[in-house]
Order: sequence, then C-alpha cells, then structure tokens
Amino acid sequence: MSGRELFELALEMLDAGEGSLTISEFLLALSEVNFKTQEGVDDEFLDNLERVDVASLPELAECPICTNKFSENEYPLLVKLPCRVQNGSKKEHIYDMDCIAPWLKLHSTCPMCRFNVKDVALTRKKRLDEETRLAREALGDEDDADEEEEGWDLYG
Amino acid sequence: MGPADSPYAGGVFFLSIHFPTDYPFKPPKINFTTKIYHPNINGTGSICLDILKDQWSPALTISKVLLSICSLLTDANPDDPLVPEIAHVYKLDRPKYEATAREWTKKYAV
Repeated sequence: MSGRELFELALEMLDAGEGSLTISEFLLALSEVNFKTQEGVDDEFLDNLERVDVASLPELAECPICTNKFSENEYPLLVKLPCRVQNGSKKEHIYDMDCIAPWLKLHSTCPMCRFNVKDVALTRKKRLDEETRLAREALGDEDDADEEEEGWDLYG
Repeated sequence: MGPADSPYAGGVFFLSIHFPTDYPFKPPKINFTTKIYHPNINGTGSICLDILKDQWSPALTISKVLLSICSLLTDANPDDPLVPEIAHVYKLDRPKYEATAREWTKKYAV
C-alpha cells in the first residue's frame, strides 16, 4: 500500500468514527507498510561468505530454506553465515547459496537466528579501514622522509 | 482446532493460505475464514502476527506458522491489538472476553 492510499484510508477512518472496522483495516495496512528498516547486503558480501564442503556435513543435513538435503544437490554451493554463537549453541547456519542470496539481498538477517550479518561486515570494514589508516600513516611518514632526501639530492 | 486451554476449545477454525510467487522470501498470506472473537484477529479474518509481517523468515514452515497461530489463540497480545474493542474487554474484563469467545466458538466453529 502506498503512502497516498494509507492517507486516504486515514481520512476515511476519521469520517467513520471510533469503533468502526476501518480502524482495524488501517492498523493492518500500517503494519504492512515496508518501512525499510533493514537493507540487504551487496554482491561483494555474498562472494565473501565462507564456503562449506558438502562432504564435511552429515548425510541428512538440509537447507533450512528449501528443506532439500545438501547431499542430494548435484552441484552444491553451500555457504555459512557469520552468526555469533549464542546461548552456547554450536549449530552452524548453513544454506544453499541459491536460497540465501535472494533473501540476504533484501534483508541482512540470518533466517535461523535473526543475527544481523551486516554487523559483521561493518565491524570488518571498520577494522580494515583503521588498519589501512594506520598503515598509510606509517607509510606516509616514510614518504615524507623520502621526499626530504630527494630534496637534498636536488639541491645538495 | 481451538487449543484445549483456551476459550476456543472444541471449535474447528478454517484458514485460507495464499502463497505469493516469491514465497518463501515473502510471508504467506493467512486469513481465518471462520469467524473468531480475538483481539488480534479482525472481522475479515486478518491476523496481526509479527512473523506474518516484518518478522517473517524463509526458514519458517507452514507448520511452525500454524503453531504460532495456535499459541496466539491461547495467549492473545492485547498490547498490539487489531481490534481495539476486544483488546479493551480482554484487559479489563477477562471473564467477559472468555465468555464471548466461547459463545462465538459455539456459534461459528462447532
């Protein structure tokens, strides 16, 4: 439902007064509006997901989305989400790439535990940026030193 | 089937389940086709349940969703009502809510 339709429904509701069915219709419409609180991940994130070898999994292991057994897939491409282990649970959240990719492109949460995988990506990016910055600073100092030396060569 | 420990016990409630083309990446559309007196289910059978909306997950199966709907019948959520009048009765006069829910169950679901 678009914002305009929602607005018209709100006006209708005001006309109808309290206790009408329109109020519950309005509440329902409101709950269905996609507020885009979460956004999905990009292709790079999907490419960097940890791959899992089907041979390392139990014969009966299945994809939680399509519920097909991984072992019955002729060309399995399985990935593991970087969910933080919670409540001591050791269960890993592994999916067919074909099943998890369309979901993660729209929502950045694990279907099994709702862990926001983007948090991991953000933390990783922050750490990488920080390391790059430090490296550049260290390198930057050397560059300055080089320039000074070159300067001496030129004028000396 | 209405849960035994609820005022819907003894009733048989029918639901319609519509699978969108992009299921399971979008939630199924589930409606009650049997009339029911419940704070989170309105006159047209629409259900106010988070996992059918923004909390949907493609790892949820229809049996898990039906289980959630059953537990919604046992434990209504009057703080997030779809029908405010019923939620009001539920909160202020629980015996009256239970009596009406039982009455509707007898009338429409038996």
